[in-house]
Amino acid sequence: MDNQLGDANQLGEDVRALLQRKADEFGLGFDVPGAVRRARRRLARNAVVMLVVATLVATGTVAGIRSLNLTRNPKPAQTPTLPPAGSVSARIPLPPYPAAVSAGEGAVWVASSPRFQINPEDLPPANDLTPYPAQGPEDPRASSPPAVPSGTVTRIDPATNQVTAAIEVGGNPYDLVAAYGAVWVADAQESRALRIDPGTTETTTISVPTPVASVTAAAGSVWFTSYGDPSMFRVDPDTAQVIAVIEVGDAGYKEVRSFHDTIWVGYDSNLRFAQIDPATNRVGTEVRALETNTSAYGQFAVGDRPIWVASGDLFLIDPTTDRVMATISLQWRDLPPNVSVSEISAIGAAEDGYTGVIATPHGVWVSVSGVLEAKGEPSRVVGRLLRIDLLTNQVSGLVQIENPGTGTELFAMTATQSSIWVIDRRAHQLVRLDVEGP
Amino acid sequence: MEGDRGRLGELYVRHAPSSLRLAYLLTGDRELAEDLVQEAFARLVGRLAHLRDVEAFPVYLRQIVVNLSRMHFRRRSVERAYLRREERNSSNEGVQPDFDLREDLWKAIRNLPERQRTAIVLHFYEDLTEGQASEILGCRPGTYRSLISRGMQTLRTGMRGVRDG
Repeated sequence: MDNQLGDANQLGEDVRALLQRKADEFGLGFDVPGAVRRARRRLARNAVVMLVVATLVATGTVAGIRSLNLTRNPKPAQTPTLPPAGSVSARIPLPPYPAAVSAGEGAVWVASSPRFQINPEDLPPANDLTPYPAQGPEDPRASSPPAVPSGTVTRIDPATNQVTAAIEVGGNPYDLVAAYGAVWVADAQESRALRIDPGTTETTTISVPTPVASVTAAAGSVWFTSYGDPSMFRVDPDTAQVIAVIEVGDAGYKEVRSFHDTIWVGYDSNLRFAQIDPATNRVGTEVRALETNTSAYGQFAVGDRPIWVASGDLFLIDPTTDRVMATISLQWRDLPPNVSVSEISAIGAAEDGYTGVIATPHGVWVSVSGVLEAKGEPSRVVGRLLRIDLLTNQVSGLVQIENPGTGTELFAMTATQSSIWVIDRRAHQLVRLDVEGP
Repeated sequence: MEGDRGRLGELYVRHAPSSLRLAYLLTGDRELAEDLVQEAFARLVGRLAHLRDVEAFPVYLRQIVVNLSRMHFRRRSVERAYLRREERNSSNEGVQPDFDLREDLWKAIRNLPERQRTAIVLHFYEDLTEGQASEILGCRPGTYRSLISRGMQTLRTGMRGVRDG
């Protein structure tokens, strides 16, 4: 093998032989019964911890919670060197598993999905599996029906920060947008979309060819991406009927975002993007600048020209040239000496890899979450909103958000005139941030 | 419930070794491979009752192992820690007298971009068809071929450097 390693024609065989050899070597040292025992211990331990935490939360046993160190708040974790970009003005409780948020039609709207804890990438493409909440493996749902929370859309009054309606819609409401006198909901489980009257909350079902996972409103239409087919569906908001089916992307999870009449679909883990021409109902420009990026999976936002992709770092892509024009580091640079950067197990990304981004009149905002660890102290899951200065392409301000009981994991965002609204999906809250400065 | 636990144990014994090998080839880390496979089983166990075709279990398991390893490498800090560890390992390896080209090839595979490495393992080790592998990777068959091609080109260049150097 060694003599021929440099021979291009032989390299494939060398790789094949080496992988087999390494796999064989690995198997020699592996103790299957031991691994089974370890797995069972781990599953049992997780089940016990979940049970204890659930009991404590249900009974409000603060002393018990303290004994678990969950409320222990260590000394401030960082001395921010960046100016504050705003302040938290409200935390609004939400139904479990909040997945998407949109502002419009006089309210802020949140979709909560019973399946949201499941990463779409983990699901097999076939519709072989019925929905279930992602919980511990010891859950007895296999033998009895689980207590699955229904899919819900929540209406929040921005004047009072109060929930004014909780609309049970069932299914798997995965995304929503408020526009054209209604709230439009994508259901990633059933072949339907929903139209909700923002005043009466009356719900109308729209038949679509497949389940749909993402939605935006632009160019006088509502646009849903298929979850299961390489297509998207254009819906007339007046008739609530599908008026066009557009072939785009792949069969997997696809996101659609828009700015005025510019519509972009992200697919292949948001490594690729396709612009939809509303005049022709066809794909126009395609962007592949991030195709070889190894650290996607984030959200994206669009502006009048650029595409912003939050994926570990924040990438600014010029679609006219299909080039990355700027890469903005989202690293946590302002940690004190007792919190080593190398000990943070997630930087610029939530635990399963999500970062959120929106483009607003106040600039571009990115949500990041991370686990902070310092020697001798319990780890903390902390969220941050970062404001990006569009002139310098630098992080120009931040707000740190923390919930000592549950930790904070920030996700989807939306904006109103002077506020950013962001989902904390660990605390099941909508956090309102009043924006400061430019 | 007891029946499902027993079934899980049986499935673990049957499919864990092959999954561990795959996870190891994707990550190059024995402990991490074990964690990923256990996580994959934990994710699959709730779906056992809903699995219409039990023969599909290894297919789903393989897909979840690949997805978990990909998610792992998307966590940039973890990747950085991994690279630092590799750096330490390689500096230790540097003092070993029996410099081995095979280990250099293994190191080069582990240093490939995650999607290229996954494509190469699925092609050369799992012997999947283009359709199967591209489905797991969530890309078109052409992209899958391109990933293999680019990965092999990177390996070829890297190994040429080692041999010439």
